[in-house]
Amino acid sequence: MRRMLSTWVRPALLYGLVAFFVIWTLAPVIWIATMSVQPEINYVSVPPHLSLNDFSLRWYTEMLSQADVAAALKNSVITSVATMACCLVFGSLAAYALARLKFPRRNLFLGASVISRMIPSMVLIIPMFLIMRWLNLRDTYAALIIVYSTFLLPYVIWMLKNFFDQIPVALESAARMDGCTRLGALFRVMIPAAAPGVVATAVFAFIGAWNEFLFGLILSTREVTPITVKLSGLVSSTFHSDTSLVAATGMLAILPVVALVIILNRYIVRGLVEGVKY
Amino acid sequence: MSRVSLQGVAKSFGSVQAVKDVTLDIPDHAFVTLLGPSGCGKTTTLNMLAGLERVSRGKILLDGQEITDWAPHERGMAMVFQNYALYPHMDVYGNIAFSLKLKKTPKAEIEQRVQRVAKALEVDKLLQRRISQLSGGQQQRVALARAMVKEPKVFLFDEPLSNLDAALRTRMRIEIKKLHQQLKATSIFVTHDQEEAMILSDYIAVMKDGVVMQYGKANDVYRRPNHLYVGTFIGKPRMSILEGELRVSAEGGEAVFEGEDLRLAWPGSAGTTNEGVAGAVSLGVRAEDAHLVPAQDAGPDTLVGDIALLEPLGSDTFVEVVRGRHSITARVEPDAAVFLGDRVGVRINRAKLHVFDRESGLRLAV
Repeated sequence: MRRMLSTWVRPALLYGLVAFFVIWTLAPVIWIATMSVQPEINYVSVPPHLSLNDFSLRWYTEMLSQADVAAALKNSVITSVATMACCLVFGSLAAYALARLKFPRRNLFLGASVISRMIPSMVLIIPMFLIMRWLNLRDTYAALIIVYSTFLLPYVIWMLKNFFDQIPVALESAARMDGCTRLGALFRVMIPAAAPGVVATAVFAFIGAWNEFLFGLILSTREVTPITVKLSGLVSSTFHSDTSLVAATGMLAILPVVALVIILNRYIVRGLVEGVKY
Repeated sequence: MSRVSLQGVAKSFGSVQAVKDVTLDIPDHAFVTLLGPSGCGKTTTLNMLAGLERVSRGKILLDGQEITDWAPHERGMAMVFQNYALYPHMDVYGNIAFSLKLKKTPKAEIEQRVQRVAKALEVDKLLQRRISQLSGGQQQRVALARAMVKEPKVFLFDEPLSNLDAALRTRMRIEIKKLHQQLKATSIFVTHDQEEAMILSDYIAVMKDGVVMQYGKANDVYRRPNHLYVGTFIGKPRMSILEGELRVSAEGGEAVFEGEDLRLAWPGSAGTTNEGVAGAVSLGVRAEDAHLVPAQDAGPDTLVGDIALLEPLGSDTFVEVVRGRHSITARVEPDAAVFLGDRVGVRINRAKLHVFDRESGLRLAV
């Protein structure tokens, strides 16, 4: 009886739970994917009437042929990649200092960087908006990149510090003996040695920037509108009434992130689950 | 030629003084070991030599030139680390070639030099391997190759053998010694293993609490420890210590040692210097200077007690003889007929005695 419990019941229970969570998480995505390839009438009717005969990709082609959707996708790619780069450069420098150098108020800095994350973004909308207006940066990539980085950097610094902490000091010492400066040792040895962690952090920053909505909405008017803002515009628009079109756009907005995660999957899992193994 | 000299070097981390005052002159070609327990400041001293750690006070000279504030790579030194510290994202070749690449050495020369040291250390078959595919011993060889390829003036070793298993450690120890005999480059080796220090070094600096207790030729440090601490730290088995009062008469020079329930006496002899020493001492006796005799042959210079422990090593057997609170270890031939619980005498050679002041631990001339 006990044997049966441990060989059958327990794994079955575990798999059941995992399956439940996977379905729970994926259900909305699956639903929107379905919506994006079916005419609206099929899924608004009760009960839904889904049919393979009605399968079509025409909503995708229609959406992509609209210049503003393509532009919004491009904007999101540019701001997200730039934000990611920004976070990696400044984040790794800060994380290195926090991990390796001893300076007064080090822990205060670490703590303070978290406090900045405790303030709801809503509160900061007006000051951010005003600052960007004074700097004359409204509706520019720079504005979005700066603001996104501001909010993502605390996470990035904490993650990278954690990964750097796991790299033995001797590795860096060896690099310095071999002819690197401290900065050289950071970029030539520390970061490559922490690669899984750094990649996981980079993906995290990219997703954070890609999914950002609030500041994108406030700080962009036309030129740099990201896909998230565009999408919300489509949803609330009175001119578009075709929900399949919105669903197709939504799918387009998800794809780059999914692709990135699949490509870098090996690193991300290693980085997040194991940390930097050394 | 590369002489290294540390002059009053000290290092503080905040309020903690890791290294208090180290002055060492390391001659050209010498193999010098910094020996001490963990936390004695030996690794910090090595890091200051390497330039990895800033010096709080004092000077470091290389061939008479002050290098105290030079960057690590400007010093012409190479270091081998305890956990090898190989770059995990490069293959073996990349690891060995890294310093040469940074120096913008021509490709052909890099290739040639890497091949040469790889062959010398028998890692030439592993050049394309990733570091994670190597065993501990192979990693240590690669680390040695990476240091050697720089053709440094000075080699620094930071406990490079302590991560290896016993058999491999013994083998690598020999290889490092042979390597030094070949290259003749000045080498500074940090370890907490006194046996390793004795086997490898020309000179040993015994450190404790950030201070060098004794610095001298390895054999001198063993033969004439200038402090109780040094005497008991170096040597295997540990030097036996008898606590008591020692009196050396000013006229005849005979010496009398009295401990709890123990009296040892030696007649005076020509040549023994004595100033009528009297006082509380720690009497140090090495196992090879303590001779086991039958209890009935005991003289005044013999401690009579019972055998409490036998340590047969194959080549020798060490016998621990206990009398009351006193215990002394003697070396005997492996085939000697000694048994646990036997009552025996241990004759102690006066000429080989180490006498330390009980209070200060300093060696007394008796």
